[in-house]
Amino acid sequence: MSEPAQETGGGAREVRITLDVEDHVAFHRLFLARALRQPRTWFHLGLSALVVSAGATIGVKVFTGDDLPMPVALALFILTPLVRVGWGYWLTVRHARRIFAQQQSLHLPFDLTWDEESLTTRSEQGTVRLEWLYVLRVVEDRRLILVYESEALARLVPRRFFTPDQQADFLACARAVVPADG
Amino acid sequence: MPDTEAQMSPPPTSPAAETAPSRAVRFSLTPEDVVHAAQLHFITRMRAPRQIFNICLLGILVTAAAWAAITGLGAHPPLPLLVVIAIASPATGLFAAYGMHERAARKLYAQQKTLQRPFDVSWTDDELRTTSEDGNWRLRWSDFREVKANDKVILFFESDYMMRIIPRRHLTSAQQADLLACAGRTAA
Repeated sequence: MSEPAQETGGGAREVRITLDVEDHVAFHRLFLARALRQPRTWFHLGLSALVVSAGATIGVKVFTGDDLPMPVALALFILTPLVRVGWGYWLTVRHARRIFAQQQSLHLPFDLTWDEESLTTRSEQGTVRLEWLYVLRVVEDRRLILVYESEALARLVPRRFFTPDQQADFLACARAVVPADG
Repeated sequence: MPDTEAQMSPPPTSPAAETAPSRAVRFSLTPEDVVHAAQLHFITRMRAPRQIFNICLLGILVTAAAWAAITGLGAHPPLPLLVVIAIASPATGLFAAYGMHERAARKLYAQQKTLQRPFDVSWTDDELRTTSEDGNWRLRWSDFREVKANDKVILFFESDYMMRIIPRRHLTSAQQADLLACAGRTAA
């Protein structure tokens, strides 16, 4: 972005945001969806499938002396990761609602401002500035923009508080510094 | 930062206060601090009744799915097999999570630059305050759900997943006791 900070032509670089529980659920869903696209996640799922089906094969042999039929071993290999993913999704939604209820700081309105160098949030609990240089990645869907500080921590920014021009400006500031992410 | 520091140490108002420990410390986290915090967080979560229930439920679900699959193929699953599946499926997840937590914590520290800056932490009877190069924030003790500590770190949980880390080594024994007493008086 080459425009001065307060004269972007896309509206003010400040929005006031109040999250609701559905934002938080969407945040966790997006977090999970991204995790499921990572090779590491597939490796772990595959490993658990292997352990369960191998454990079952060995268990049957040890306890009954029979060989586990191949279709059964295959069914276990496929079902284990499927159940874990379904389970993870179900838990994610429940956790998101519970965490939102627990964490009072999520309920407070906050002002988000940004420029070419950083984004800043201000609420009655304080002010925190995050330089784009220190942002790991920016991920978006139709509802949210997630600004990741690390694999475990992201700031959620609901799109509905922005005008289209503000969204474009915010993302342009981020993309100018933050490496593209799949 | 200055105004926060000015509020950290109110002037003593009684003889007892004159000997009270300083309520301000400056420290930087290390990767080991984050590893210790992750260990304590993991253990805390695994001991929670909800988590134990979830783990048992996952074992039952996987076993039921396996039973349905095997029966559907026309076989009769032996009981020992079902027991193995019921134990192995959640156990692999748990072992994997525990086995990876140190690596994950070190990676988190390396990624999250805000963890690597020095922090000024202070506290009063009412709240915990933090100031760093990135900003400042204050949280009332009542904003914390619980406080957990081991011999390395003290964790202040805002929720099951959001926590603030204070390594014990940066606090004197008196400061640790004072901090935990303040938190314990009003933390939810």
